[in-house]
Amino acid sequence: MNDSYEDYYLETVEPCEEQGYHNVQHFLHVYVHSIICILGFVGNILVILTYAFYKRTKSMTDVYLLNVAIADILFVVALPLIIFSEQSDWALGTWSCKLLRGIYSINLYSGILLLACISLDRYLAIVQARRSFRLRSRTLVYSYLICGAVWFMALLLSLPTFIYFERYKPSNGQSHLSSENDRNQTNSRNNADGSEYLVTLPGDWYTFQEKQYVCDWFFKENHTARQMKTLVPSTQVAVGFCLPLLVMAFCYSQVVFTLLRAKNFQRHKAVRVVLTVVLVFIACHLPYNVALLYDTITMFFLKECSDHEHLRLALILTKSLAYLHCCLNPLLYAFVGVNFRNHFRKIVEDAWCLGKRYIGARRSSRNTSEAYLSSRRSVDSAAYDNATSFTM
Amino acid sequence: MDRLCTGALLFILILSNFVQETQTARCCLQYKKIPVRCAHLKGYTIQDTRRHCDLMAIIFQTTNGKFFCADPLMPWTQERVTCLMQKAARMKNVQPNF
Repeated sequence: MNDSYEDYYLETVEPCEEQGYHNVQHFLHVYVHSIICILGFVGNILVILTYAFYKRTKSMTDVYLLNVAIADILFVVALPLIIFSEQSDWALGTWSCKLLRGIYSINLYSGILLLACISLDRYLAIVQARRSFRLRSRTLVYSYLICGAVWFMALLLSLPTFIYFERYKPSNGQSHLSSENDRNQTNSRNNADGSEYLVTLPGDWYTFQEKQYVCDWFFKENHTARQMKTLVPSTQVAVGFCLPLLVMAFCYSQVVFTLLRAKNFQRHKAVRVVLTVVLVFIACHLPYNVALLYDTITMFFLKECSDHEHLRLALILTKSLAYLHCCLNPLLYAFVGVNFRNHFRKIVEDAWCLGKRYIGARRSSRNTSEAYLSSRRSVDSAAYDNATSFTM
Repeated sequence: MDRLCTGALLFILILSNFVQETQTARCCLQYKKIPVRCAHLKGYTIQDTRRHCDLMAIIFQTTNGKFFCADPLMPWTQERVTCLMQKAARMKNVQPNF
C-alpha cells in the first residue's frame, strides 16, 4: 500500500488550472481595449462622415477606404459588446454569442483583406499607370464587386464561428464514480455521444469552481473538433495575415521602386507613408499570428502547465496589439491623404459654422444647413480628386 | 472636446464596474506515466476535445481526493477504468440492501 502511495506522490500530473490572468485581462479590458474602442470609433466615424457628406466615393480607393472604416467600426462596436457579454454570462443567449463572435470574425477578415485590396489598387494606379488608366476609368463598379467579394469571403471564413460557437457551462466531460459513501442511484445508459457510463452523479464530483457560462467552441464529435480547432486558426493565419502580407509586400515594393524612379518632389513622403503602412501592419499582426500559429501547431502536444500559461498570456497580449490596428487605419489610410484632409477640414469648419448658426437661429438652422451641405457637395464633386490618396 | 473626454472617462468607469474576474478552466496537458492501483481510485472523468480542452484524457480521482491525468490509450488506464466499472457494478448489486 505504501509503495503505491509513494508512486502517486512522486508523480502528480494534475489537470492544469488555468489562471485566467485576471489582472492582465482586467487591465486590458478597462484601459487598453476601451481606449482602442473609443479612438477606433471616433477615427472611423469621422472617415465615414467625411465620405457621407463631402467626398463622394469616386475612386476605387475611396470605396475601399469607406469599407475599411465600416469594417473597423463594426469591430470596435462588437468588441465592448463581447466584453460586456463575457461579464454578464452571455445572458442574451447563444445567439448573441454566435452573432457577436461571428461579426467580430467577419470584420477582422474583411478589414485586413480590404487593406490588401488598397495595396493592389495603388499598385495598379502607380506601377501599371498607363495600362490601368482605361481600366480605372470605369472601376467604381469593379470596386463594389471586389468589396462585395471580400465581405462574402469574410462571411464564408467566419461560418465555422457562426456554426460551432455555443454558450455553455464549462463543466468537463462525464463523471464516473464508484465510492462507498455514494448514495446516488446507479444506472447504466448510453450517452448521446455513444459512451456508456455506469455511475452518474447529479452534481459532478469533478466540478470546476466557476459555474459561469462561456461562449466558446462546442462540437458534437471529437474528430470535427480536432479538424476545426486546427483549420480555423490556420486559415486565420493564412488568409488573415500571410496572404494580405504577401500582396502588400509585392504591391508596395513595386510602388516604392516606381516612386523612387520618378522625379516627384513628394516621392520621399509617399515612400515613407507606404513603409509606415506596411510596418504598422506587420507590427500589429505578426506577434499575434506567430503566437496563434505556435498554439495551433502545439495544440495536441503534451506540455507543461507553465508553458501553456505563458502561451495563453502571449496570445492575450498580442491580440490586444492586433486590435490596435483598427484605430490606426483612419490615420494611416484616410487622414494621411491630402485630399481627404482637405475634405475633413471643410467638415470641421462647416460643423463649427453650423454650431454657431444653430445657437443664433434655432428655427431656420435645419433648412439652411441642408442647403449649405448640398451646395457644398456640388462644389466638392467638381473639385479635384486623384487616386494617389497617400500624398502627404 | 471636453464632452468627448468626459464621455470617454464615463465609458471607462462603466466598463471597469462591469469587468470582473473571468472564468477559469481545467484541462489535462500531460499524462501520468506511473500506474496507480485500482484500490486507490474512486472514480474517473473523460476529458474530450469537443470543448476547450485539446487532449483526450482520463482524469482519475484517488481515494484521498486528488486528481490525476492518464493517457486513455495506455493499457493500464483502460484496466483501471474497467476495474472502476466493475466496482460500480458491484455497488449496484449492493445498494438495494441499504
